[in-house]
This record gives sequence, structure tokens and C-alpha cells, in this order.
Amino acid sequence: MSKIIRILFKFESEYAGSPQYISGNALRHALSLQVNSSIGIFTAKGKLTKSQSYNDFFLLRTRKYFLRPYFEIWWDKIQQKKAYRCFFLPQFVTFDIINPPENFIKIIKNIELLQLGGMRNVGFGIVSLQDHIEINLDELDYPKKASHLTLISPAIYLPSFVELYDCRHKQVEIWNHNNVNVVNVIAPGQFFRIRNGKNIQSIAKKGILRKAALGKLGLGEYIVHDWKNN
Amino acid sequence: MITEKEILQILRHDMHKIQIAGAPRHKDALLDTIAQKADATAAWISRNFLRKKFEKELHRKSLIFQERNFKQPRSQISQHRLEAAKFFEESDAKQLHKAIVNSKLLNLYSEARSFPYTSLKYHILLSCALYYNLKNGYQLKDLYLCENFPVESPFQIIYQDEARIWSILPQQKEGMTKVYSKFYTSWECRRKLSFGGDHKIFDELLTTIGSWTTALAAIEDFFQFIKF
Repeated sequence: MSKIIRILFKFESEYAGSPQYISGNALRHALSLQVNSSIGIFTAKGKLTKSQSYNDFFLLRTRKYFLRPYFEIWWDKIQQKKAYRCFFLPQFVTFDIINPPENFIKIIKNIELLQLGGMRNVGFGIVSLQDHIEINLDELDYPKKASHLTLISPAIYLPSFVELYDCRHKQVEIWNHNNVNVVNVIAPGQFFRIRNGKNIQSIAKKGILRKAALGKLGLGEYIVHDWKNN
Repeated sequence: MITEKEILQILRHDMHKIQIAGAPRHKDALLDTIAQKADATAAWISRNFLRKKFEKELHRKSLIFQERNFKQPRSQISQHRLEAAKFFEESDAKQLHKAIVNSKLLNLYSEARSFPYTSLKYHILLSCALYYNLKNGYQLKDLYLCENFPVESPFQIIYQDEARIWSILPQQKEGMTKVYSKFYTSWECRRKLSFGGDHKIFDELLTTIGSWTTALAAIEDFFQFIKF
């Protein structure tokens, strides 16, 4: 039996970093806990609701939320040249944590300063816990028919049950104890056709549980669609 | 066969928005049904994002230059005002299209009063490209966005800067991406990294912008911003 705890953080200060998502690795470092965390998705909703179906579960995680950029030019003293930087003012961010440790919410509440994203040394990216909800994965009704899957987070390898065709790769930086590891991944948002005659229910479950390389950092999450039969 | 007159008509159909004498009125601007369809499609793929309340002025707000949004861009408009005369003097469609691609004035206006982040310049270029393809029998679902690809006609070009020319071509499966109604779907499904490496944050910002003209105007603004 797998349990997911979905948490919602509220931003208390500006955020610098990717406007698309926050990596699960950032949350692991902020909490100093080796949890199995998904990527963080920005949202405007201040409250979490219980998900009844498979599509309900992904409602919050697939909706696009636009972050207005603030660009500014500054003088880089070390490099001795003009540079630009950019920050955002997001409202909320949500993470899914699979099989969290005991008293997980208590641990988060006891942490004095939680920061996500870049420029943390100048006070950017301060968050506080807003809401949390528990989801039992066995109660969700998984789809029986599907034709395609869409990557929600980047993936290192494509699963064997999809048809391979040209896709776009990009590089992400994974921070690990003062070392930055650059990893070549398949960019999120792209969709792939599922091969015929596969067990869709188990594929759909795999997508939520992120049974993929570096799944604990949030990589390899996807949603399945039935586009052919509709 | 597309005549020069038809192209001139579609390139001038929204000139009444920049308030110059001699511009055709809204109801007389497009009489051809295919041209009306191309105009409606171009509006549909860009009026889907950041809807605001009805505004009196059609001045475009910028996602990159935030300060420009607070003051009226009148001084900038008067700087480029001389361009406006060129749009009506020119009788060669190719020259007029070139003038619109390089125009600074048209990019200071928005396309619709309720969508202040859209751009008039890219609306005209998009409707021209869609019209050209529609006349040759290609619908929106057959079209691809291509980068630095040899084009059949200059009227298919929708964006141009020093490093890249983007055009909308039919059935070019080797192009950058397919044209979807939301810009972010096309941008996420693209096969080629047009820019990204150095400007990673801006590249990821484009994956959250739904409107085509807003995104194209933001790209132009961004490359202007980093030149400072």
C-alpha cells in the first residue's frame, strides 16, 4: 500500500529560479530529509481538495500557472561586467511525497527557515506550510484505456512501453553536497505513444509512483491520456 | 493564385488601430471570407492569456520592461511615428511585409483592448502567414513552425532577428514544432533548442505563456533587453 502526502507551501518572499517547476532535490535539501519527493508545481489555489479520480489527482499538477517575470540589470563585481537577473512573485507551490516518514508535518513545522530556489543567501524563496492532505493511491480509479503519455517532470530514460521517436533533451543541474552534477534529461511536456497490448492500469500507477531513474528527486512522473478512442 | 492586392489588404487590415489617416475602417478592412478566417484564427491563438478589463488605449504592455507599463509610451510612439506613412505609400507587398517585420511602431500597440499583452505587429504577420497557407489549401492542423528553413514565399515569415527566421510552413515534419492553439504546447513539443543554454530562465518562462503574439513580442523584448 502506498500513501502520498500532498503539501502546499505559501511564498513569503520573492523567488529566483525556474518558473516551470522546483526540483524535488531542492525540497530534500531544504528539509535535510531524504524523502521521495516529486517536483514542485506553482499554483494559485490556497487550499487542497481530496481527489476522487485519476484525472482529479493531476488537476493541480497539469494546470499552467503563469509567473510574471521581473528582469533587472546589475553590475557583477566578480566578473566585472553587466549581467541580468530575474525573479518572480509566486503564491503557492505544491509537492507530493510518497510514503513520508512518521510525524512528517511536525518536522516541517519545527523547521525555522525553509527556503527554495536560488539567491537564498539574500533572503529569496522563503516558504511556510499552508495546507496538507493525505491521498491513498489504492482508492484512485486508474484508467483502463490509454493511447499516450505526457511527461510532467523530466525523465532520464524513456520507459520501454512507449514508441521511440525524436524528442528534445535538455540539461538539468542536480545539486549534491556542494557539487553540481549536470544530467542530460528528456524535457518535460512532450508526449509519446504507448505501444499496443500493455497493461494500462499498472503503467498509470507507475507514473504516479515515479518508478524511474532518480525518481526520488521527482524525475519520471507522467500522466496517461486516451486520445485515440475519444 | 494569390494576388498582390489581397496580400496588401491583409497586411493593412488592422492599421486603424494605430490611428492614422487613410486606414480602412474595421468593417471594410476584410471582405474576403478566407482572409476573415485567417484573421479570426490568428486572434484565437493569441487572445487566450492574461485577460484584463477593457482599456481605452491600445498600448501594449511588456512582460520584460515592467516600467514601460506604468507610463504611457507616447514618447516612443512619436519617435517611430514616421514609419506609419510608409505603410500606405508602399505598393509592393514584399516591401511592405519587410517594413512590418522590422517595424518598431506596430510592436508598441496591442491587438485587442481586453488583452494588453498581445502585439499588433505579430498579429498582422501571423494572419498574413495563415492566409497564405489557407489560400494554398492548408489548415491550422497542417502547419509547422520552422527555424531558418528555406521559405516558398516571404509572407510565411512571422519572426526575424539576427540569429533566426521563424516561418510557418505546411507539412514540414522536420521543422521545429507543430502549430498548436496554445504557444506553450508548441514550445514544449519542439525538437530543437532554439535558445536555452544561456537564457535558461527565459526559455522556461515561454513554457508558461499561452498566447502566440505575447510570446513573440516577449522574445523581441528580451533580446532588446540583454543588448543593454
